[in-house]
Amino acid sequence: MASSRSNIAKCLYPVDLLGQTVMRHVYLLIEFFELTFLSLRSVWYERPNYSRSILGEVLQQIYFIGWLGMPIIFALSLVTGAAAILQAVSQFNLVGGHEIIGQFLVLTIVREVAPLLTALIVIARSATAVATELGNMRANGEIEALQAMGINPYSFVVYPRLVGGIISVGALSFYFVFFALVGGYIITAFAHEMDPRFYFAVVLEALGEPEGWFLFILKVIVNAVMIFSIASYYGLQVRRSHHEVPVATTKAVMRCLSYVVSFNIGASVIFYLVLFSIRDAL
Amino acid sequence: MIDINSLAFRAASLQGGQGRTHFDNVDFEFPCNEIVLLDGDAGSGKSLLLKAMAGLVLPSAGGYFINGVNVSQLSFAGFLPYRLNIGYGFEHGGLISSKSVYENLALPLLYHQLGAEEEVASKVASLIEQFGLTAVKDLYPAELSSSYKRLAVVARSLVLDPQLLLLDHPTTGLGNADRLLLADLLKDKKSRGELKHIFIVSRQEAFLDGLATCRIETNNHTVLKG
Repeated sequence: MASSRSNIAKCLYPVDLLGQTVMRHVYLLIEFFELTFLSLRSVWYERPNYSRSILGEVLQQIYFIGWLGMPIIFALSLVTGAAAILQAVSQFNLVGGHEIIGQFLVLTIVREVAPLLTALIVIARSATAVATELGNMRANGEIEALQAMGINPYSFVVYPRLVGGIISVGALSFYFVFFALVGGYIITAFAHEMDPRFYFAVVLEALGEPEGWFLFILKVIVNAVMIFSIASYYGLQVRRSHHEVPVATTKAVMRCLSYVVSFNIGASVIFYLVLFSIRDAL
Repeated sequence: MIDINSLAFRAASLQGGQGRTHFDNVDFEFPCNEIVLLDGDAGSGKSLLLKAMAGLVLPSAGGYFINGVNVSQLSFAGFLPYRLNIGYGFEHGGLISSKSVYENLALPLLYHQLGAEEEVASKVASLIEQFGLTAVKDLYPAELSSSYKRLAVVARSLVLDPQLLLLDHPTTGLGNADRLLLADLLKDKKSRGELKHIFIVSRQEAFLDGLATCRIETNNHTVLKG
């Protein structure tokens, strides 16, 4: 009897392990979103105190995350857009399907590539910076000093990074779409003979589909919230020592990467399943 | 802001880093309207006690009472009117590293919107002058010498005009002239009634000589003696 129980336990071990892993991630996600909620709530409660200090911090974050992130997004969007346009034009022309080039590019760039690549760049540039900065602030006693001055760290430290992050990731993603579709065409103009009027007509027509923008906006907002809540969370996990900072930063980056990529894939799969089922029903 | 007239621990237990209990089931009424020296062996919990008095560490049991109100049960927003009347000078820095000395001093005033920008500027400028920080007011904490850092920390703890001032080793790294300057400044503010209660953790006899009017001892990690 005992040995059969032991065998069952052994057989169920992978299931147990999977369950534990899933629950660990669920609890972590709850903590990340709790941090987001607390920072938004703190600003709501302190709205009489919503001073220029907080606004100044938000603008500073927009500058660091958004403005300083523009050159790399510009270069990446041009290269990605050019590659996608070149491939689309050469392959679709082979099978005579150049009418759907616009739709293909918009589907690829708007729904998939722009939100994901922008998020990856922001993780590399800004999630590392936020986790390191907050970790150092904890180790230096700056967070405690803010509390001692009656300044809520959720509203003064976390909120500006979240809001600045959402605005910046949104702006950078739009920027990516624009330069991938326009700049990419200009770069590849010498390599193909597509009439620009035709190209921009089909692209604009495809851009008019609202469901693509819904997925784009959903991904942009969730990516930004995840990146900056995760980076802030791990930064604030540092206790008293500077040697904890690189560990916190690495954890933040790895967690951001895995959650952002998983979410982008998951959101696309669910989106298309729902879209296909609606089309079938119609 | 709320006037601070009494400070007390009731059946309070305080835990330091790594969950180590420094004070267990302590009942203590702090002397008020005095300049109090908090004395005790290294590691006996003097800094922890100061942090608990500032509301930065909550008792794991019992309560911390200001004016008879158990403030350890209050939320961050609920404790704010008390907190704005408490100045805290940290032992290890605490200056915001991304802000200059001037911005560090102006931050609490601007954040809590305690005056127009010109008033804030003049108040901060006056403190900067009193503490001899004029030459370094635009420098960041990483660019400061330890004595300037220490003076900036103490200056910032006074910027909200608190009634209760808690200073954790305020003279570490200061030269004799700066120590005397600080002692005179505290005595002056106390005599003019700008500061009501001052609690200092320090081992600098020269600084404390003639300054402290009362003494509390933290001993055996468990007991407070008046």
